[in-house]
Amino acid sequence: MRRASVLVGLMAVLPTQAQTTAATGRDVRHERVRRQLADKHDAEALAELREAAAAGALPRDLALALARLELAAGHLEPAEQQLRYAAERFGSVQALLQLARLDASRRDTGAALETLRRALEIAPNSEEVLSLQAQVALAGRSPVPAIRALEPLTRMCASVAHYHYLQGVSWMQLGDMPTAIESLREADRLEPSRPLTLIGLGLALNNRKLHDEARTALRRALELEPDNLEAIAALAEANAGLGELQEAEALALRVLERDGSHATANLVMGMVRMKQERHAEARVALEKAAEGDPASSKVHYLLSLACARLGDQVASEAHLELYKKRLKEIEERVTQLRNETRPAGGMQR
Amino acid sequence: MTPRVTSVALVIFFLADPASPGEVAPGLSAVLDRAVAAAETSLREGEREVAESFYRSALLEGWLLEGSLEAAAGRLDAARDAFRQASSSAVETQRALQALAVVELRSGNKAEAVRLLTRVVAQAPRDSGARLLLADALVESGQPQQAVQELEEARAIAPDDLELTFVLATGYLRLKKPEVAERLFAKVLEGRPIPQTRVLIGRTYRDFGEYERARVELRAALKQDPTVRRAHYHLGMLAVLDEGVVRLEEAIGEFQAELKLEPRDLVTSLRLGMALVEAQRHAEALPHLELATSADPPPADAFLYLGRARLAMDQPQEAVAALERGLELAKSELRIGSGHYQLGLALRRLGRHDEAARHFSEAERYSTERALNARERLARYLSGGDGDGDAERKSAVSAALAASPLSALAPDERDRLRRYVTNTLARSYVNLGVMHAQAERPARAVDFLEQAARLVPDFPQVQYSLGVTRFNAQRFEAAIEPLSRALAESPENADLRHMLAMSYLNTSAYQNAVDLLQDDRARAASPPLQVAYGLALVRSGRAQEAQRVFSRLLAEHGDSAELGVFLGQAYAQQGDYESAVRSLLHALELQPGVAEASSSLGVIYLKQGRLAEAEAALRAELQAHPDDQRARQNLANVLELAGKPEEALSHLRTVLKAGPDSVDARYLLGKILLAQGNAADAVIHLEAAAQQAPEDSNVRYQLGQAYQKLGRPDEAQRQFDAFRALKDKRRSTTP
Repeated sequence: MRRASVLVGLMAVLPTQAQTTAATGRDVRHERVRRQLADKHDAEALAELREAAAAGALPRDLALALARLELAAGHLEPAEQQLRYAAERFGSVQALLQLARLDASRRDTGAALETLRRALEIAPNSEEVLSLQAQVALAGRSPVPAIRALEPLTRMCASVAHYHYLQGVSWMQLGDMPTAIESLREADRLEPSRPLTLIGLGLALNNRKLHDEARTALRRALELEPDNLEAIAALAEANAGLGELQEAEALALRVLERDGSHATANLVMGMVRMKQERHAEARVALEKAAEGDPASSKVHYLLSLACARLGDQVASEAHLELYKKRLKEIEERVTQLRNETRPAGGMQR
Repeated sequence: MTPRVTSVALVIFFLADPASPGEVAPGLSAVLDRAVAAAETSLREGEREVAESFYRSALLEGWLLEGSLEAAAGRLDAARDAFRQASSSAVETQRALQALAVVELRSGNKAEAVRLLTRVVAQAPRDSGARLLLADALVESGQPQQAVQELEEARAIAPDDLELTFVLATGYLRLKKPEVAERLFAKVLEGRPIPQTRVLIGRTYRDFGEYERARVELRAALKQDPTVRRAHYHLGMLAVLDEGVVRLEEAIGEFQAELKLEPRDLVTSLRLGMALVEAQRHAEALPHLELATSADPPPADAFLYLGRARLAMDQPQEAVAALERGLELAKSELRIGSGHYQLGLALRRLGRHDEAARHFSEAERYSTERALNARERLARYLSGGDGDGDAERKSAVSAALAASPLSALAPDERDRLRRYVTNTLARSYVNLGVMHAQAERPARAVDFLEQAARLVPDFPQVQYSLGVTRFNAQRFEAAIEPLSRALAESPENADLRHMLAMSYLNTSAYQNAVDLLQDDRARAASPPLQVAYGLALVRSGRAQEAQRVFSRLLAEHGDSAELGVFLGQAYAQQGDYESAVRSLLHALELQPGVAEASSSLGVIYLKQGRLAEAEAALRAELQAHPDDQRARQNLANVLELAGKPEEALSHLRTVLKAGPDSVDARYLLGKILLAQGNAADAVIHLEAAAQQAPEDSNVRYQLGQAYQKLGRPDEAQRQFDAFRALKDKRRSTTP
């Protein structure tokens, strides 16, 4: 009796002879394809892998390899199929990352973030996953998930300037300029002379009306990249803020010659024209600025002033309302996120 | 030109479980072990992101454990460092910050503890444990009202949490609102209607001076169960605290009743002994006080009262011994003053007047004590300070620490566990470092490997991995130490020897490079190694031997342009510019545009003051090799000397874009900007240069000038002082 039950147990565990042979045949093929991959015989490996996948499910490494080769060959659909299989069957974070990249390349930020959320459930401390989440979110102008990823990244990888830079940009997108400046200064300290950081810093400082400091940062950026339109436009804004209207106008016009819809350059033109009391021209420039950067509160404030000077009370009040609405939105988002993500001072910088 | 040694691959370090602490502290390192095991499984499966995530979890768990071990050993600074590391190891911060806050509280940094815990609570508002801790920190920092507020919020989240309700009631007692406290205590009793709950409530009332309420609860506890522990004890304490010697007999009766329930209770024995001494029943007090001295650690009071009893019983010799021991242990001024006074009396009784006088004089310093009447004295003695022994009086903080199972480990067990944790941390850092190195992020890899080397310098492979990674990151100076240590461990490893030799060569330690390469068997078959050896010979002043090496190279490998360049550089190094120029021009004839020929010519012309030719040669090098940042830097040097600062600036910015760590580029950029009157920007570059090359006197000088122009005279002076010190140092070390 006892012997019989042992045999039954074994039968459940051991495959039948036919299954064993099939498995052995598969194993041989898999080993062969692994060798091809190691020898970088990608074309042969791709053909072999396609056949193997058609015959049955692939193990994790080969499913990922097939996806990689299909992607390299520009065949997105079969690549995605393998990636989804690896993600579902093996909980592969590599597959999820690749899927998120594909979503992001299609500008489907929501899908990419959802895929990354699944990746973070499996690998919550992965720098690669957090970093991709931050980048995808920022590219989709979703600063909140970006900041949620960047807070741990700047803590765990405190010496990486890029994460502090991205954090600064996220806070800027959110409208919290003091915190943005803090992050960007840290990025600049860790990796000086990086034009993107300096431009971000200049923009944030301008927003805080710290135009003198902004000008220093932007001049440094322009020393490194003399033709950068963002830097020139931001420098124009700094000059305008400092009352140096001629320089500001000249720089803004330089930008508008190359990009007539540039939001910051149009804002500067609006500021300059307002100070020159050429309100109608100011309104035109500021409307262009609002079109280019609808989230800007400053533009709506200036527009409300310009409209008021022109006697258009209705438009003036509408812009004033928009200005207040933007400020309120910023305040709410910032308060919520500050509580969640401000560093608590564990590690001392 | 530095001949490169092919990068050496680093491997992930899989270990059989090293010296598992399982038998020492079962379960204490289980979470850590699981994280490392999961990381290594993920690595084997090729899931590097998952592996990294688990390694980071391992770092978090490891540092938490390390911090707890340090805290348990009373090393608060080390505990703080460990918890800080934990707080930056992984996404989760709650536990690390809570632990850090506890350490800050224990260190007396109350405001910092409140700050940390406020953040923790903001991030996890439903964490009632964190709120409890925050309430405790608020009380400690003198904010009882805010503490109660915090507890009310916690209770709103977890209304059935009896511990929270109890602490909240305590908070109201602190705010002198006993009626509110009473209602909350009633809820606690509803939840746990046992006599021990009443004892706890009674004692808490006692602590806050609510003596009548305390008596009611303690008597109710005894009514519920006449054998309940500590009720008599607290009633005895109440009698003394409330009325002092007036109700001494009542106190003695209660302590005796407690001892009937537990005859070897050391704390009650001590209180009974003290009360008997105060009641002048010295002989009866002796056995209780003797018993109390056997506590670990022994309470000062047991000896001080024993001394008093012996003295009263005319046993001055024994009294002196007991009082001296009591004074060694005593910490409070009240006890020390009284102890000196009693000791003075005992010594005078023994005729040792001089010693007695010293103790009387000491006692004088604590004279306030003698102004107290007996009731006050006894009450103050019993209500706190040395040897109070009231182990039940615990704040959430001490409870948090005492709750750690680590505190139950013996010191040698803790040491073993600490070694295990440190090793596991090192192993995680090594593997994270290797993963970054394999992903070609050498700077990040170095960060992790340095951590591992700091923790366990002799951890297997750590010096090797660190040395190789720093070498591949071209941080040659920093690579020397770990490579030397690794080579000492594996003297036959030729790759290590070659990397070390190259590191020496790149840091001007030419003789060391020669020593390593001269007997190297692989050198003869490797032209790059031969070249390196030749260069090391040239630069260590052995030009003739170098020429033999280069000539042999030419003979064996033909008249190649590359060798011509090396030979030219070797001549230039010797100062034989004529031969150098001939060799370099010949190399260019053989292969126009051969790397470094024109730039070497440019440097020679620069040294000869032939600026126009130097400029042309360096431009030619850059035309052929636009990525040669060394040539670009030299061209910038030439342009600056030739009065073309704007073009020099442009080249320097390109150099910095390619490598922001270039000290030479930052120095020259700062110098030019300063000369152009832009001191603010100059400072940025010069400060960066000074940070990277603190021993460079020229940088210090320019930085001093920049500060001066910016109206920062103190900082300028510091830089000029550093400049002079460096100059003096150089003069004294230059023969």
